[in-house]
Amino acid sequence: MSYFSPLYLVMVPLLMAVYQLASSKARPVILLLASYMFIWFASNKLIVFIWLATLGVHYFGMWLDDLEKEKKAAIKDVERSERKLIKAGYKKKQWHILIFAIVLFVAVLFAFKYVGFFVSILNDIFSLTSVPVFIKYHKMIAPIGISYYTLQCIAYLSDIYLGKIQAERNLFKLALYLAFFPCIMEGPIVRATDTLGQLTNGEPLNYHNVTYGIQRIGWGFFKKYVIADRLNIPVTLIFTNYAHYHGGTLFLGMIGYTMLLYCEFSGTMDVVIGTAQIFNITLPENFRQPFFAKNVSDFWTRWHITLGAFFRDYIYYPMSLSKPLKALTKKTRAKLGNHYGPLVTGAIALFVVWFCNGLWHGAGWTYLFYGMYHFFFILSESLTEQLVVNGCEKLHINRESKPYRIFQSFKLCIFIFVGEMFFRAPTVGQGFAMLSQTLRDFTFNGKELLKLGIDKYDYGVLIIALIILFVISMLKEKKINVREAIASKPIVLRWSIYYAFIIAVLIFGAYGVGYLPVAPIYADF
Amino acid sequence: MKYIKIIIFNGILIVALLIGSVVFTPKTNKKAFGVDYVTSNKIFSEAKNTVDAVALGDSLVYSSLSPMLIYEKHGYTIYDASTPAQSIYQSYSLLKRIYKTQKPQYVFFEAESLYRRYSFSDDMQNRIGVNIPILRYHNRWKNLTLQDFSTQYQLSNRDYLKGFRYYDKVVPLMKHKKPKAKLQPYALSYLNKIMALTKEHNTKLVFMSLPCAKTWSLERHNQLEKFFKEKGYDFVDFNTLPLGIDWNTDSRDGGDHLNYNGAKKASKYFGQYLEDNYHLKDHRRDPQYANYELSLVLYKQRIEQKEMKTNAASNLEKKTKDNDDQNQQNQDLISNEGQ
Repeated sequence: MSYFSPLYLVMVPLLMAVYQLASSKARPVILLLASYMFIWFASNKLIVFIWLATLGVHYFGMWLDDLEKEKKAAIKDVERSERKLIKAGYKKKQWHILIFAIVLFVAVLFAFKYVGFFVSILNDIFSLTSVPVFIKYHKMIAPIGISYYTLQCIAYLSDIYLGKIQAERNLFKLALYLAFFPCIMEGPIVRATDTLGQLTNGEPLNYHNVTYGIQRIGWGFFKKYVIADRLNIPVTLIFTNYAHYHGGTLFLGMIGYTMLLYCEFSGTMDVVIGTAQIFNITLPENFRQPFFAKNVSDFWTRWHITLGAFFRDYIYYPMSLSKPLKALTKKTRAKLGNHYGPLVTGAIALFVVWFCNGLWHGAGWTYLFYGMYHFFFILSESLTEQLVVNGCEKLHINRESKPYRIFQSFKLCIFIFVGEMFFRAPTVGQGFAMLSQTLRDFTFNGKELLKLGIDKYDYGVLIIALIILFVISMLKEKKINVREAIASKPIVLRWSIYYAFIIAVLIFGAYGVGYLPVAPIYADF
Repeated sequence: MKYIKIIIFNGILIVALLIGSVVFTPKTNKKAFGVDYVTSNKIFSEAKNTVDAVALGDSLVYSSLSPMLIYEKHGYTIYDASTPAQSIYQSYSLLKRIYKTQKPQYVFFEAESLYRRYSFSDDMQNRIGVNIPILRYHNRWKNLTLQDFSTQYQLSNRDYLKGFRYYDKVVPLMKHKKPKAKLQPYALSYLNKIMALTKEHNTKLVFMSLPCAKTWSLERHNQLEKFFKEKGYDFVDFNTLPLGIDWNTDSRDGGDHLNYNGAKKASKYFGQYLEDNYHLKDHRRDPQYANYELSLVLYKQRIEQKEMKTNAASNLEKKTKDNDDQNQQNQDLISNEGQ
């Protein structure tokens, strides 16, 4: 079931009614049952895997916690020197448990998502080296949300290990934290500190949160139905028959795909966060006007924020602070100086992060390339940062001035458009072919655009919708709360805006005969 | 106060949607006005009570049965009220509308839609889509005219192919997976509605499976035969009758649909089958049906032109093949046309 399906629109109000009628103690139970029903609809019997994960994470969490308590008891009346030894012993044991648990979770994820890819690589190697072996493999359907809840399990256990949180002893609470239906399919990747407390509050619905939640859902529908679904046919045509189009059209195809991806994913997040808000739960944001970023690394603090934060907190930092890399930093600092020295270890950690990031999106060369593409640009940014700062100073360019910021955004957008093109292309080779064709033959042909399965009216709607999206993003970037602003208007004006918006989505949405809806892209990752 | 506000807000919204639904319901049946499925919709322009048999169903119907060929030979008036991948909801709502202007003696229903699977959510979506005009016809905003703001309908545009569609492509038989023989519960509930509706209008409802190498199986045949026998309805499986279909020359897509060659054979057999088993009136030389004679002339001209074009094209085939493939690919993507 997608968050944009009519079934979802029926399920949420029903759930609201049941939730409101129930006692405050029963409310979290209702949310959990609804979540399991949702997963069942999407994944049927594979729901077992989230149950197993829940039991596993509950057990390992308590184990880590028990050891922590045992340690505290053990060091109570002991000499200082011995204390250190005992502490180290427990830490080691906890570390082993944590690693064991992580390997277990990752292994399940790996079995579902990556075995096919690695089998195909092995087969390629065999055929290249003329070894007469061919491994047969049938693609398995992965349980819904496995890429998301696996990361949540890892984060949860790591946080217990690091002493940031205590283990949740109540299995039911933990189950709801992992399965909460709005974020099961496409994230955000929620930390225990974000929602574990809120989920079981069982507060009654309140008018403010319900109306704001519904408005947020409406905004998501606008992005998905009016923009993303309308772009789907032209983008699909351009990427399947790229050789037939001029470079200009290909370039518009890259922009179109980036917008499609942004509107589909961030639109889903609007529906997800809006739904959670209806039930008084604040989820972390996953997008923050990414196209206004200064550079590629800034972009990744604004696009799929929770994934970036996961990699930062659970791979980048632990790696950079690990003993071998710290030792390496010391050496490189001595040789390369204080600026470039730490960059070497940073680069190693960054490489691992982007390798994992690429792989997380899918088992395929295009995704790995996508990860390496961003690694390359982020690394180049840190290498050249000092040069740029010095250069700007010499040329008397103010790096905070508007023209310079626009230049930065423009440059960034080009990087991102090209990156997303590789992300969408079926093979890395096609990505390069498209790029070279764009550069060789950068001409625009109006007639070509009208042969892409949508007509001039659709282009008109797209342009207006993108302008609306741009203006709203701009206001958000300036910290103006649009929903608050509308809510403070007199009732006639306010309601007119709401009606106009609802009817506009219904009429100008690209659904029904003649359109091809975008499948939920991030549900597959 | 809050509750009153909620009620008023939604009340106004519902009124707005109702008004929108009236505005967006097509007032003509021309493609230029944003009507989807023009050929099947043109049945509403046929003169009142002139269509004796309606063939309902998915693309198998408009690919296999040419009403004008049957009229030429037997004088029966048949209309293909079929649309791509027609769901049983659409069949039902279409038939309900047809009864407003026609009194068909027979309805021939292609049974394929009883097997069409929908997820629970698509099922709901279809039901909503069929029943709320503003959602179904929303895309007509591109073609709205002043006329749409009145409630006057002008359904005058006729189809001389009577719902049939001409395809000349030949793609020999390809391998297909064995189809699953599971009647879908949602479809059966709608089937009962269709049965009740035809009974109410004293129409004989006949079920059929038109030639299709892809979705036919003995298992399905036996299942349907048993099912309809129990219900007391006729069921004709054209896959088991000697139509003389050669799947290597008579299909346009490797065994899923017939092309014009196949349609000629199927229509010929169908006409004869009607003559042998049912009682339909021969309307040839009936002055009331003069428009059918005119349609026949136009139909023949059209087929002749198409065939000439095909012959000319086959000479140029090599040159244009690439182009065609791309167009076809584009079309497939856009029309998303299944069966």
